[in-house]
Amino acid sequence: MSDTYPRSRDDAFDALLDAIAFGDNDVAALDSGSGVGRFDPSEVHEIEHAAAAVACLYAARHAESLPHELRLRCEGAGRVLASDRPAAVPVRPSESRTSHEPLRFTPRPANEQTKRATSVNLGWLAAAACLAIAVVAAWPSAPSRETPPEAQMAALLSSADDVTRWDWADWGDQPTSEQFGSVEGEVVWSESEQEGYLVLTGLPVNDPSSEQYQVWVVESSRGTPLEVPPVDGGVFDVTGPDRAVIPIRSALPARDVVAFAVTLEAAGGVVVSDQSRKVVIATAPTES
Amino acid sequence: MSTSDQNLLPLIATGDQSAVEDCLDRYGGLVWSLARRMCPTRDEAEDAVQEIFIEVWKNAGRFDASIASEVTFIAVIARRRLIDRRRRAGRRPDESTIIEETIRDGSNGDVESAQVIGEEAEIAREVMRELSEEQQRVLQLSIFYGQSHEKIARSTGLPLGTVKTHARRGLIRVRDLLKERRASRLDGSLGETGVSS
Repeated sequence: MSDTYPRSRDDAFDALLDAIAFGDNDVAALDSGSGVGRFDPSEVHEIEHAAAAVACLYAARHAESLPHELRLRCEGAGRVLASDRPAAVPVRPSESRTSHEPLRFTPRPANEQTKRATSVNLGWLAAAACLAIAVVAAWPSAPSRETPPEAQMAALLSSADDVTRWDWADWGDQPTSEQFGSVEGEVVWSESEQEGYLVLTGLPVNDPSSEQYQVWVVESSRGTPLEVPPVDGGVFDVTGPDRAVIPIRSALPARDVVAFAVTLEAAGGVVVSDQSRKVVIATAPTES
Repeated sequence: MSTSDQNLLPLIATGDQSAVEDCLDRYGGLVWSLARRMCPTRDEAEDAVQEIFIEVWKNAGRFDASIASEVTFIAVIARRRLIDRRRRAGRRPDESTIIEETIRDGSNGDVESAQVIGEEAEIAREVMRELSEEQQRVLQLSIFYGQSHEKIARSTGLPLGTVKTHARRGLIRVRDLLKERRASRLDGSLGETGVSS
């Protein structure tokens, strides 16, 4: 962050552009100084809109699905707020929009921003408390990030009625052992809870800066595992030879799952795997 | 259920809970995509997305379709929140992901085959086509991947001043074209009503 505020209008505009393009300066903080504050707020918003348009353009190119669990959290918060809209977001007459004040993204000078934030936040303290309670109540069984996956899996095994356990098998033309060594473990899955875990021992350690293992969830409606792109189940790293328990983070609700598969992909994972580096697969256990 | 081109934020502002789902269907992937690039870890990206959507829900009533499209409104909120989180944490995303992704794209910033998200993004696409590959790459690395100008200068081999100039000129060009289109659209609608501007 730069602590030097621009002095001329040109400098100020450059600082604004840099703040929005690179995020090096705080737009609101600049606004309280001698530079950007000279500009009409609409000028700030126009640049922000331009940056947002560029961001949208590239985001479309790299479109990904919102992970299912995350979506549930966002949806729950939205539902709580929407259901309590009048109380949650009080409309203050002084903030109502007029025809000559069209823009809504107005960064304000720091002191004004603080005053405004305080008044809004007072209303939000109660709403936030309600929200926290409601969100927790809405997903009592949602695994906590602080709870180790091993414990989460144990809880699932003891609480869900429909848990199935699937064995790993070779996937691809070559046996897994020839490419990745001897891999052991299983998949634990509950469709009713939409929760599952990979248990893996023996996978080679990966370099997360260049490649990561990626989980795929294959549903029966999506055809056979080898023919169609399955659903992203999240990426994971192997850091050592010990047994690893990996939560499955399906990007979409998974129904009639017929297989869970693991591929090795570029860091961060991919939207659609070319399946060039198949690791292991677990197909649905046959009923005896 | 809303139609595909109906704005959802006004519905959310009036308490329509089904619009929340539609909004996540429509924009969840966009916000997730932005967060994944601008946050150093997946966990942080998840936290950021949740914060962004809570802010979207809170500010739904402030959306004005005459100023910007809904997707741009949400993208502005997302970028502000992501930049703010990054500034507080003092960390930027891992460059290796960027390199992998741009190599996989084989594009170095080319956006010819990008999907369409919003009218403004279409205009941004037009502008990007006017720019050199070098300029496109600077905008991509700064705005989409959240890279500092110093890092971009190091990774591209461009002088620091050139990196800043590319980003500034690119943004100004997108802004100008957005203004131009908005003005011509306004003229058109005034013309239809017989009012001269």
